[in-house]
Amino acid sequence: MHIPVLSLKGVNYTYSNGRSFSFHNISLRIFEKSITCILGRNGVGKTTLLLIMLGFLKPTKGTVEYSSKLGSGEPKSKNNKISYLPQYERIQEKMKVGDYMLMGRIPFISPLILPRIEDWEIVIKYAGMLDLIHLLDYPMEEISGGEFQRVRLGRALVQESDLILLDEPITHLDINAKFKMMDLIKKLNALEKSIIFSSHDPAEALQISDFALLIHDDHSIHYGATKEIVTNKNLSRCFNMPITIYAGKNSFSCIIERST
Amino acid sequence: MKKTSVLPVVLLLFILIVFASLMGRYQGFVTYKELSRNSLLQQLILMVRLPRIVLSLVVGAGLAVSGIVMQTVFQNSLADPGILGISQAAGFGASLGFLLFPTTRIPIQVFAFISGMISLVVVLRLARRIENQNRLSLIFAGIAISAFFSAGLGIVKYLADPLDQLPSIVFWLLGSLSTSDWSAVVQIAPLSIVCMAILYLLRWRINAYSLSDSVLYSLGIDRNIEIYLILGISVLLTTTIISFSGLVGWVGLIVPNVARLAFGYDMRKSLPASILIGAIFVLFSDTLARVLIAGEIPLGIITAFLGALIFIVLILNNRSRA
Repeated sequence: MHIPVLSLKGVNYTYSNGRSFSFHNISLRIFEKSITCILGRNGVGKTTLLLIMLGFLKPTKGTVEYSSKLGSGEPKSKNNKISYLPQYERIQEKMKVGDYMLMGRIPFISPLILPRIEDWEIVIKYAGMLDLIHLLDYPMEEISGGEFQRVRLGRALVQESDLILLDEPITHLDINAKFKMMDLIKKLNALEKSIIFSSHDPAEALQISDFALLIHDDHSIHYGATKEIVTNKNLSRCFNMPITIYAGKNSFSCIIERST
Repeated sequence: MKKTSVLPVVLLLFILIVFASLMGRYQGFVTYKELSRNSLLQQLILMVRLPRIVLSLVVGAGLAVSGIVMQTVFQNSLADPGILGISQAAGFGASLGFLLFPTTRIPIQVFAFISGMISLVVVLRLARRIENQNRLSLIFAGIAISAFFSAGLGIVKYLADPLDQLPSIVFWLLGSLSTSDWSAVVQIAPLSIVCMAILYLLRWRINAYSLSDSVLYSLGIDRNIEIYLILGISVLLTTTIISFSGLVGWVGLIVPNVARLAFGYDMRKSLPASILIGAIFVLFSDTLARVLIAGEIPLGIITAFLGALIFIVLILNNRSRA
C-alpha cells in the first residue's frame, strides 16, 4: 500500500550562493500517489530540496533513489520521469501558449524530428483539463498570471510522468485561482500521480496534502502525515512565530497570534 | 494559428535568381533571344554568374541561420556572430592563415574556425562570469572579444606585405563574392549545406533552449552539451562562409528579426524563413554590388548599408508598437 516513489538516503547538501546553508543527513520516503507539501520560511531551502529530489542538484553525500515504475510513457532518457515546475522560469514571451506546452513532449521526440500529431493531441488533452484551449494561440506575454501558472503546469503535465514536483505553484495566485490550483492538484492526484509541492502557507498543506515536510530554520527536517505534523506547536517553531490553525467546514486558515 | 505562407518568399527568391543571372556588366540586361544566339553569353552565365549566385545564396542562408540559432539559444535578438565577436575572430584567423600560407585555401578555413571557436568559448565563459541572467552581459563580452580580435587583426595587417598581401586582406575584409567560381562552390557549399541541414533538422528542439536549466534537466536535456554542439555547428557554418566571403555583416542580425516578425517565434517556421530571406537579402545585395557601377562594390558595404536601414525601420516599428 505505501510504496515509496522517491527515497532520500542520508542526503547531505551544502548550498552556497551568496548565503550558504547545509542539509544534514536527510532520510525520507515519498509515497506513491500521495500529495506532499514542503513547508518552510523563505530561503530555508525548499527549492534546493526539490531540486535534489529532481536530481538536478547532486547530494554531496547519500543518494536519491526512484521507484523503478516511475514513468508511464516511453522514457527515452533517464530524466524524463519527473515533471518539474520551477517557481520562476525564463520563457520566450513571444512564444505561443500551445508551442510552449508542446515543449514538454521533448523527452518523447527524437532531436532531429518535429512533434507529431499525437504530441499535439496530448497538449490539447491537458489544455482541456486546465481550461486553456481558448488560449493556445496567444503569445505567452498576453495571458494573465493565473493562466500563466496553469500553462506552465500544462507544460509539466504533457510529459505524463508519475511524479510531479511543483515549486510554489499556488503562492502568487489570487484566492480564486488558488482554490482552482489546489483543486487541480487534487485532480491530478486522483489520476494516480504523486505530487510534491512547496509552499509557505500551512493552510495549503492542511487543505490538500497527505504528507507534510517542514523545513525548520536550522535546516532540519520534520516529515510525516500532515495531520500529525502540521500542528500549532510545529508551525510555531517552523515559522518562528506563534501560529494557530483555525478549521472551517472543509478548509483551514493559519493565523499568527499577536501577543498584544 | 496565424498561417503565414512561405510560398511568396520562395517565389520572390526564384524570380530574383532568374533576374540576377540575366543581369551584369556585360550587355546589361539579357533577353532570351540574345541568350540562345550568343554562346559567349551562355558561358558567362554558366561559369561566372551562376557559381556566384549559388555562393550568394549559401552565404545569405548560412549567415542568417547562424544568426537565428544564436539569437534563440541566447534569448537575445541582438546576438549574432558579428556582435558576439565570432566574425571578428574568424576575420583574424583567416587573415593569419592567409599570411602564413598564402597559396592554399584550407588553412584559412581552419584558422578561421579555430579562432571563431575560441571566441565563442571565451564569450560564453565571460558572460557566465559577469552575470547569469543579464542579457547585456553577453553583448559586453562580445564587444570585449571583438576588440581583442580587431587588435589581433591590426597586427596581422601590420605584418602583412603592403604591396601584395595587405590589399588582398583589406579587400577580403570588406566582404566580396567577386572571386566566385565553381571550385569555390565545391569548397564552401557542401560543408555549409550540411551544417544548415543539421540545424534545420534540430530547429524545433532549439526552441527549448529558451527554457530554464532545471526544466531542461527534467526534460532529459543536458543543456551545456547540446548548446555547445549547436553553437559549434553555427560557428563552423559562419567561419566557413566568412573565410571565403570576408566580413559580410548585418545578415545574421537583421534577417532573423525580419523572419520572426513575419513568421513568428517558433523555429519550425522562423528558421526556414530565415534561410529564404537571408538568401534573398544577400543575392539582392550582391547583384547590386555587381551591376550598380562599372567597378565592383564590396558586398559588405551594400549589406551594411541595407542592413542598417532595415535595422532603423525595425527599431522605429518596435517603438511605435510599444
